[in-house]
Amino acid sequence: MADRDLLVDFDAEELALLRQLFRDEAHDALEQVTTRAQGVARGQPVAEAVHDMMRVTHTLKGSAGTVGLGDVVDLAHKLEGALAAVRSGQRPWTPAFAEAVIEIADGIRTYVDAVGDPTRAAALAARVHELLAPWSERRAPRTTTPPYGMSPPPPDHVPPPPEPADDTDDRGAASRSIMLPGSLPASLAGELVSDGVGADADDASTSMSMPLVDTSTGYDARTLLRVEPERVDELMSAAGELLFDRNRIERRVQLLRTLTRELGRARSALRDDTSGVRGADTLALRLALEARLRAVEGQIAALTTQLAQTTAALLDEAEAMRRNLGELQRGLTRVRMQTARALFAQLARALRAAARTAGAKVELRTRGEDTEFDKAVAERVTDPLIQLLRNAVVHGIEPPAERVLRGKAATGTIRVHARQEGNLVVVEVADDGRGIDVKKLRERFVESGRWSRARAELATDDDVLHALFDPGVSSRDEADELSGRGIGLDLVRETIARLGGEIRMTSTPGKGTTFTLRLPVSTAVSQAMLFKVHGQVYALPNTQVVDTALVDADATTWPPGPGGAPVVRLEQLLAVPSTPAGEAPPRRPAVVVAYADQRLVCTVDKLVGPREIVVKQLGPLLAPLPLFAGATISGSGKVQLILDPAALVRAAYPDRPLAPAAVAEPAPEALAGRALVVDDSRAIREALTSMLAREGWIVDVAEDGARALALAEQLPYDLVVTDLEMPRMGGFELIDRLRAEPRTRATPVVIVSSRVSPDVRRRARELGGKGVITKPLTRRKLLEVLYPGAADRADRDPSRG
Amino acid sequence: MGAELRNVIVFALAGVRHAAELRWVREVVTLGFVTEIPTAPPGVTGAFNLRGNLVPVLDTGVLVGGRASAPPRQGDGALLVELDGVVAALRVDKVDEVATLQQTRDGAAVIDGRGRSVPLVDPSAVVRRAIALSQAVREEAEGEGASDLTAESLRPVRDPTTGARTPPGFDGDTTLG
Repeated sequence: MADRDLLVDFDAEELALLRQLFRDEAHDALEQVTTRAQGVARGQPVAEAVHDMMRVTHTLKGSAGTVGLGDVVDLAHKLEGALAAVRSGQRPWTPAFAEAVIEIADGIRTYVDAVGDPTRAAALAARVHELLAPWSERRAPRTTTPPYGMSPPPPDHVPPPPEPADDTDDRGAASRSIMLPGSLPASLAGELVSDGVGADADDASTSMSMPLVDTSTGYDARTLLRVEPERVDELMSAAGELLFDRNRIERRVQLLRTLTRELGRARSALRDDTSGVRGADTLALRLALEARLRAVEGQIAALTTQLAQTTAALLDEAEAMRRNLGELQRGLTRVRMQTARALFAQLARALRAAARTAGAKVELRTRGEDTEFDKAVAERVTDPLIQLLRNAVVHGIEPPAERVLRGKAATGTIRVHARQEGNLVVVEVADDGRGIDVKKLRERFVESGRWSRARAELATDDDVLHALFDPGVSSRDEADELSGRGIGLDLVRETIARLGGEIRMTSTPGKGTTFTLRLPVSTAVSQAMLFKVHGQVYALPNTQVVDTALVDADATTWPPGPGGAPVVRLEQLLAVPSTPAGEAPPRRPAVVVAYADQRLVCTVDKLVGPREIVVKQLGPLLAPLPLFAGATISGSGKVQLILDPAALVRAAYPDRPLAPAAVAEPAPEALAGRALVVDDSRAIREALTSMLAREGWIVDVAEDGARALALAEQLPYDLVVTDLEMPRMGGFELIDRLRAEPRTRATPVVIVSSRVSPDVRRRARELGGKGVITKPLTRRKLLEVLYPGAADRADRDPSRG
Repeated sequence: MGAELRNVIVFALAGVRHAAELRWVREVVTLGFVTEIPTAPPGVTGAFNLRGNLVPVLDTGVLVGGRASAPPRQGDGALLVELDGVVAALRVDKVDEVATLQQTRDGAAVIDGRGRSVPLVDPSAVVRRAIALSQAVREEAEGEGASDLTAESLRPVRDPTTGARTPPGFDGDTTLG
């Protein structure tokens, strides 16, 4: 219908573009309507708000007609009518009306996003009509020509009849060109197709059942990048400068060419003269030649000077060009930046929808609207933030009655604050709800079998709280409609981590819960530390590199002594050959990495230095490799890999001590007692026996868990050192069984394994293990786990080592 | 059944002629500097910069179950293959020809102009296999009991004679295990 008419005015591509522009515009307009409606609740004058809403709605109506969206024209017209009734005093402004206006605005927005899918759109339109019905002035929209000037006149509002095939084809073509520009990532395109357009008959039923106010995907459907004009001007001027630079450089090069030619001439002149010299023996000829030579020499000297000048000028201009290129790049980065405003608007919508579904009363307060971050970051952080809001609505904010009883305002508040801190954007999401009762949560972890009693008792409140980020945990048992679906906290954390950010939470029972997200401002261009390992250059994001250092080649911690961070040899992590021992320098450069409260010192072959890099995706083939976060292209066009700090810390933290509070067990250093060594390798048993014996331990050995358990039943042990993978009974089962017996429940256990993953560490901690040692086993590692500061002692007293 | 005509590109790989259906091949490229990717599965030999994008370089020999060819070097030829949005470069020794050739009855080869049978390589299978291997690395890293790549790289090699595990890159000290 309308599309076909419009295709007379515009070609399919134009129409697609127009619709896209319209969608942006509609989003803005409807957001303004929402803001104004909310403004009244905060005490803004009704007349002013209504006036603004009518103006915006009217404009929306006009542009909707232009792009042939009759339904929007109709809906906007009705909304305008309802507003007009308030303005003329026929109807008072009531909170219910305000709510309805906001819902209608949301509804129209959803409809606008769904126009490509006629069936779904029709359903959405019908729903908005329904919402509007109580407020409409008996006006039948189709019977009167709307009293606004519009070209072309609005198409009649006829519910889309079963369309002939060719018509559908038209629409299909137009829609596809809207929705699937080649530059779209396939996944996004796929999403758009299923969400918005191109849904064929098979999809219709699914589309119909989708929620009417779909906050999660609507805004993402925008594929145009909107940029403030000043920023484009900046870019234009930077590009203009580059053009000048290029012209200047071209002129210099031209000059260089001329000079080269001149030099060539001088040379051939010289050659001619030289050949003339051969037969020359008369004085006159010699004098003439000398004069010629001097002239040529003069010529060459002048040319040399010019050459030198030109070269210097060229260098200057190259430098200027570099600067201007940098300017352009920064400008482009800024173009990619957006303020938090759009994100906040989206969050507000999501919160309204969530509150409606949950029947809760919640208000969103935002601060830091002008905080800028990369569009890509903003987009990827949206879903996690929405999840946090939903969690707050479902788990956090109490019902109004309960709130009043507790002396709180009936309406809950969620604050979302954004601010920039150096290279990071910090976003805080705080609710004033019931908060999390850590004590209860601890109990629940035990009751559900997630944690052993011992583990729960050793865990700090912070540990307990942050365990909520572990997979499969929810602070309430029931899976409810809002938070039970979609992504949970584990995925929130994962998404944030993948962006290179991190998330922490704090909670006060009765007061509320606060999440703090730290995100990189931009994922596209970032500062990185570059270094060489085995002849290749690698990068680490500067946000996680806190220092560089020179580390003794055999150091295991840095700075040496207690409190030092573990030293990791990157070539070992990367499994590339290391420098032969003989050629290795006594001290090696290293980068100090900090991630998620942990530090790690990575030794490298050579530091290259800090650089600004453009981050490239690894692509589906290389992305699964856990050590790498991305890649960049060097100045000379080589691919350089970016290491993932999170993966480095996860994978390589060799001797992570337990949190101080968790090591509440009797300290074994008081006396060297009886130790049990459990390992299926005889070599390891012998090694451990000898190491422990030197420390004054009486050592028994067992080749597997079952044998160890039998021994432990007969003898009291002060220490168990065990491998994980053993025949008959593995290490974890052994520890479990030991923990089950009151007599051995508190016996310190040290795990020695070649396969130490974060999982293993977590389990070890849950089981109350004293520490984990990654093979290869060294005496130093063992001592460090047994007695903090042992490395020092070992250093001081090499005779014992 | 067989005996169908196929548009193929014929190339040499470790001295043996192979053919790949043209529909998989986006273009024939010359490799730039190939960066080694540590921890990558066998068959994924590196990555290079193609017009500002990172493209993985695959060892077709390994991925079809044969022997590893020489490490890819700058200037080598490669077939740029795209499958479901995954772009990869299959290194080849030499590109012979692009031709329409008859497929053998079992579909495993094509018959070239001189009646010789040239084995058909399915680039999509090669890429899929590389992806699967790469995923396996990740799964191992996430799987129970251990084994990030670290563990992979640090995993001691068991000495067959003594049973003792000797770590690669063993660094002195009282190191055992």
